[in-house]
Amino acid sequence: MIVDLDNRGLPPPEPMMHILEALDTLARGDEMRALLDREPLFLYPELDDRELAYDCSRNDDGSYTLRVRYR
Amino acid sequence: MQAIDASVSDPRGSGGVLTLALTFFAAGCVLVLATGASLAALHAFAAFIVLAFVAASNQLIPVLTGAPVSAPRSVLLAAAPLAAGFALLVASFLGAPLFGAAGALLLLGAVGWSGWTISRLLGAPLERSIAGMIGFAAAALVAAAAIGAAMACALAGRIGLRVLTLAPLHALLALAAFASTAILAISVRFVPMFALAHLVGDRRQAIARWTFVGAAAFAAACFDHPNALRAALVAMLGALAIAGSGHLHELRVRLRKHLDISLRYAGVAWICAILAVAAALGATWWPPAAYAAVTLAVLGWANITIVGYGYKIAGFLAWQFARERRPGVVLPTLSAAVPERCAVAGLLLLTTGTLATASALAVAPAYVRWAFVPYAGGAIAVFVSYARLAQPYVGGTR
Repeated sequence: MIVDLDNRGLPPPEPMMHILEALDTLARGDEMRALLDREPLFLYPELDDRELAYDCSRNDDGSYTLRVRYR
Repeated sequence: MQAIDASVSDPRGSGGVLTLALTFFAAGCVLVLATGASLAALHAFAAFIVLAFVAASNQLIPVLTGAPVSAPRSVLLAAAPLAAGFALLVASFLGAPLFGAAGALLLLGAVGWSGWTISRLLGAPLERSIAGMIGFAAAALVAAAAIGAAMACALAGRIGLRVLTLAPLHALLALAAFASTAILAISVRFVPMFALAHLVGDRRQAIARWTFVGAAAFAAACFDHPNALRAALVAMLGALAIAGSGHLHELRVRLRKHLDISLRYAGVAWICAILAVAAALGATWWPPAAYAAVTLAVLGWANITIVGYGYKIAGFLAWQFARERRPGVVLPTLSAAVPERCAVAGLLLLTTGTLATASALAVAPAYVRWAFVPYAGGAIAVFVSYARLAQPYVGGTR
């Protein structure tokens, strides 16, 4: 299952908070996809702490897409 | 899967300027121990504060505001005249006849960096309020540098010494309008981000921050009118208390159970800020309190905030540097990398040293060097903590 979040338009750290809260419900095998205005630099260490795999890419419109799943 | 887009960050450029800043911090500590409370030491700490903000803003402006990222390492060029100017200024206060060159370089550096920063902020689509505060801080730095350059010319014998009466205005612009505004702006996002907390009362906090900015500008405009200055300082006290209570509320509702080390430093620094403004208010009746106010503002509020936030910034820069250099390698987690005991010991010593130095300067100036010893010990603990924090990323991998 893919969990989609649209965090555009939110001031920091709300996107990070929404992602971390959504991760609590993420099951093994699921993937989370989040749209963001900014690259979530300070979220990466939090994802490392939780031993999650992730990547982030810049979209044509300047937004970012973050993908997260269990390793 | 852990590829990241490094296009919004410049870890080598920002890290280089942060290293320069920390060199001035160490120099400031050595100078207080060697010469006592001197203008040389004060301006070494000023260099630390300015350069740390140059490094932090280079890293944060694109991330927070969506502004275009600067060319890699261009921040080093922007910081070079400031670093050189401060080095010459410190040397001048120690006896070298370089005041004229120091003032010119600092003014050039302040105008160059502020112009560059404001032009980046003007193209930023996000965070208008925070961008506005950073822009105000940058403009205040130019004003402080212009007055500082004029005073440097006076000390070089090129213009009359009458301009030295502007020293309180120079200090107000540097400490309240530049440094404090910059810290308040950055804390708006750092405190909830480091605590893992939702934003609390964003509008109320924004009003408090802008009240502080307005009061700082008003204080600078009427620095030689005691009653108007008192009113401005009371407004600054109220604004700091309201903004601080908002951050406290964020800490109470945080997700992260363990209180982040950066936030412990920030909490102590905030108390120092309130004490500094209270001491400045006291100085309008009893002038020796002004020395305590400057000490609390520099050693307590600005320095402790910066070295505290530095745990996160320096750690993140080292982590990102390692990630760029060795993509795919498993790195130690940042939360486990901070040497907590050493960092807490550093905070206790810095706090003790700040309070002791401020008290000594106000009532017993002969004991300043002794009073500063705990602070120097705290600085050593901070440097050891930084080295241990960065070592797993810069020195090797797990």
